[in-house]
Amino acid sequence: MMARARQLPGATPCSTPCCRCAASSEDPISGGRHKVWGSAPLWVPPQTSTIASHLPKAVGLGVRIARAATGSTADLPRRDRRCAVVRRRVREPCDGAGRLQCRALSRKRGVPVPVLFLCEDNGIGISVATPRNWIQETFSRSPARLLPRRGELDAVFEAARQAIDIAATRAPTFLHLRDGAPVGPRGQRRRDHVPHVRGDRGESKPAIPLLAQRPPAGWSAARPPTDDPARPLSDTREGTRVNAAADEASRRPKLTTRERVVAPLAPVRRRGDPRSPPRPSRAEARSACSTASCPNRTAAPSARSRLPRQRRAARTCSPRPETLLFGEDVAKKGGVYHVTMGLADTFGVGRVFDTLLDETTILGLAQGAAHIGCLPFPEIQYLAYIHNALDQIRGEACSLQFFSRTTATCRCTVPEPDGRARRRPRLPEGLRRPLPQRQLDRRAARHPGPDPRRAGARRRRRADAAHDDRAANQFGKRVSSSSSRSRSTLVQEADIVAAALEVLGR
Amino acid sequence: MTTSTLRAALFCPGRGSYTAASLGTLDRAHPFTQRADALRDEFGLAPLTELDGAPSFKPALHLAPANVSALIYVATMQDAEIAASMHRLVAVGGNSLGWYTALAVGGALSFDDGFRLVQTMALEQESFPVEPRRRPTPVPDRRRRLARRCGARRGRRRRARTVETASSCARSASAASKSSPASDAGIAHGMAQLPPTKFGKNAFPLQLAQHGPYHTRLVEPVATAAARRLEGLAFRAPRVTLIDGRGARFSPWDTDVDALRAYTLGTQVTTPFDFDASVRVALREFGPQRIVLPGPGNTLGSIVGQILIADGFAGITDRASFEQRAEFVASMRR
Repeated sequence: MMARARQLPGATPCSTPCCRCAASSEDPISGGRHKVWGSAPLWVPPQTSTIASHLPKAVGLGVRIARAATGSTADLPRRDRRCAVVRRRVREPCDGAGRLQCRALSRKRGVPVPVLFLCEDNGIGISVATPRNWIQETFSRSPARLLPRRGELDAVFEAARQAIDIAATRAPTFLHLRDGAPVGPRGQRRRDHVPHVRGDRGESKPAIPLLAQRPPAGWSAARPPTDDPARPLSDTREGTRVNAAADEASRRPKLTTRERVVAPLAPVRRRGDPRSPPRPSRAEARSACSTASCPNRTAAPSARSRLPRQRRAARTCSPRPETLLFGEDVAKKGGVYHVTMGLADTFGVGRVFDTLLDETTILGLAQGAAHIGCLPFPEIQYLAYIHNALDQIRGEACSLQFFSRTTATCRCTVPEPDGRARRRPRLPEGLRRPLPQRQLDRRAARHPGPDPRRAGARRRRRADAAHDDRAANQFGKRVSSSSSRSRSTLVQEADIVAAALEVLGR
Repeated sequence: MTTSTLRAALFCPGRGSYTAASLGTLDRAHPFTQRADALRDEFGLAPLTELDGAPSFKPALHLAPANVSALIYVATMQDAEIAASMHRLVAVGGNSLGWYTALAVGGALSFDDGFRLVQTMALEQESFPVEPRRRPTPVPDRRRRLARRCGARRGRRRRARTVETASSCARSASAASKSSPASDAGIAHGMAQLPPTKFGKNAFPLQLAQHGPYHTRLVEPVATAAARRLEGLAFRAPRVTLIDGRGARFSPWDTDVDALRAYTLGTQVTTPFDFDASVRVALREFGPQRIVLPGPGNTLGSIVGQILIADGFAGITDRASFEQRAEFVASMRR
């Protein structure tokens, strides 16, 4: 993280963690409320708990990053559009869930998930020694790639670089690094873990890389003031520097009043606050659902309750490319009551997809995606399981803004297929009807390709063959071009999404 | 605590630091002065010893960019040498022209290359076609940020906003006239928009004598021409961490020499120089026990004081506490 901060001008990677440890209100991420490790400008989502929910969160981040890489969202900096990295020092059973989720999404469902699982293996976890070869044996059967590396700095660097490349372009990757940390996670000294090398005279000495450049010699008679080969490089004493930063951090202001402590817990924005997004009036909301904007309805809705939630969710999804809908049966089956049927075809597997029967993973995935701007709809079946999931929703998703001074929020809607959904509402019918000739002409002019009128049928015929292509062509945008057939698939998908958006009144 | 162990951050002054009071302060026997005069001879310019030893200060002569830049560079280098021998330098930065000096102080450039950089940039500025009479000086970015922070702290938001407006107007003027640097209709328009504002002793819009629109996109042609002429400069990893006008650090261990060159000859010339960020990074990351401000003049003294107060560093929160810890900021030519 410090290396990442070094790339950001004006960042203070030495002082900021000191402020965090000193509970200073100037800590940019938590404001003195928690020792959260995270940063908004560095795209490091804050992680407060020590449970392994950060694994599904990383999967959620990966889904989001994959979407950004296709150009469907524009706010993620380009250099950050590679892969999500999740770091874990101590292995827990939940690791399996994260990897399985990755496997399920990336292989079985066709959703690209660029995630790098980084295992820092210190050999002892917190205090109990890890069984010999346990990591290798457990994770070598993993679908993710295993790149075990231990050795010199350059070898580790190269392994990490390769792992990032693989994770970013092909598959979720597991990088196993033997950790040479001299201090255990609870602060105990572990001198025997400092990597040592043999010196010239056969003595054992710590392997500390010498990276500093020697001073250039013989420039001119007028030598720069600091260019004295007899003097050491000035700031080699990093310990002094860190101590100075810590001293200063201990003097920085703290949270002193109750109001300041609870301020970000529920930042209520009153009506008329310029920071609030404009909310449509009741009349506007009604007209958005009326006959005019949805030509397939024959009558205006008589009551709001008649509009099923899922249909409204579909309406929400259409103009907002950042929305995601996922759950146990939402995509292929189309929901337990078939209320989301066809949405996966409409919006693509990157936006509507099935997950495992694992609520922790579903909610973690939603949090990860929401951290960096998605609007996820993680469906939980049914109400009883939402009760179980409330702890995760309350303890992690809802507390995030408190622990991050609202720099990170977790906005998501948790739908639940309740009784109202059993009425099995119709889908937005316009998706399945032929388009008016005028729109078709316009479409054809814009995309010289196969006739979009037959696009749906053609795509269904090719559904199996195009399965792999779809993984690459998520959201109707092509990542790499290989054959004309896959290009036509792309055009058809693009047409359908565009047509759906038009019909829905965009 | 002996003087030699004090960890110090050094910040080199920019244009405007050499004034009538600085006349005759150059050490004539110093190798820097002699070498500089030899290099001035190569450029076909009058020697610095002659300029510095003139009986009276003539703004038209002494403040001409080609003369004043070289004078400041050599004076700062002489002071920095003394400072480096008395302290353990942990970070070196500068303001505007001071960044070039900082490169040489930190060892990223040799003295000769540093001098060539300063002199070439100044000569390119002199050939810049905009009429000096109607050239506005954009409110420096650090002033804008300071105004915002001080204003918020002391409830003077209104004034801070005004200064900010002035700054943005100046910038829009710069941007407006980018298409045709020779015609300053955009500048005139921008000047008309600027509200007269008084901040401290300075009234804005402020116009420095013989001063160009540095750190704006207006000087892009200058940056391009200078980069072409300065291709031979041998940038190296510095000996001491350098902090640039964005707050980015170039350390002896990880400096990307190409990035350092690109910043110095490109970004730095055409974007606002955030001296505030540079000082803040030095304070927070290196925890210096002293800030050394070499001469000529003491233009950075009050600015560093304001930054310290705005940041509340080391318990300095107002003028009184700053004066109590006066030794923290060492101005060599007070």
